[in-house]
Amino acid sequence: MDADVAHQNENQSLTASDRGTAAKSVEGWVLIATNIHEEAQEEDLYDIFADYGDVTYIQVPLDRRTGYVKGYAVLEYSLESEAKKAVDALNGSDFFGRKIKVDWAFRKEPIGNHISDQ
Amino acid sequence: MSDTFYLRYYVGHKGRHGHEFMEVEFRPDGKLRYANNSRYKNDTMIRKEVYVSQTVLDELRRIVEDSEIIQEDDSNWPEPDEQGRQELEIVQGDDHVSFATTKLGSMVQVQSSKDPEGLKNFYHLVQDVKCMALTLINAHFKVQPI
Repeated sequence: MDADVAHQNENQSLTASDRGTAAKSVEGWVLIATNIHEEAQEEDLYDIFADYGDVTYIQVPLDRRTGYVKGYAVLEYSLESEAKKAVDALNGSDFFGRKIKVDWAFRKEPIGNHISDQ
Repeated sequence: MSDTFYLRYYVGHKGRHGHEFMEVEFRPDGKLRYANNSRYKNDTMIRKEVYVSQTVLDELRRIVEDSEIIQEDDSNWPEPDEQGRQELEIVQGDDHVSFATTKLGSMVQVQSSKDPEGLKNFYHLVQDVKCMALTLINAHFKVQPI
């Protein structure tokens, strides 16, 4: 599949409301995952997210008081379609016995401005 | 969570290289503002702004609530001085707290203060706040903030 066709297909696979709020970052599309069990590790998170595309960046901050993970992760895919698939598949899914939230990290406009914020 | 949440953290000092500081602000509309003025290497001020999602704000709020910082007060904390200044201001629903203290160099300094437990909560919370802000800024802009 040549680059132009792949790019067109990428745009068509997303709904208007999804693309209405999420903002692209410098190198790709960044997601945040929350309610992560403290015993989970970066590799465990990488493994579940890698099913939806190439994870080009992942940070899983630690709680320096406990040595466990703080409870959230910030990760990135190059393609919006990969990020969207990950959000749709993993948001609300069980991970280490907890229901994780997976959402876009950044938005194009203030919270409250978009119809989907109401 | 739809009631107001706001957080601002500042750490800095005025010294040989002028006013060096870092400030982070999470606004209720999602705007994350980051400023870093470190004159050590050169005179550049780094300023970055990006809107974060409600999920990001909710997570920061969760971290703040878990820290129980709202119950603390800084009356027994070391005052800002020539070593520097830290300010933390939080609005969470109807609660509005603000703290000012010196730059904390180490846990030893925290443990030997007049309110080690409260100051320790502050010390760990600001590390978590800085970490979240820097993680987000770095992910979005792919520049390493100092």
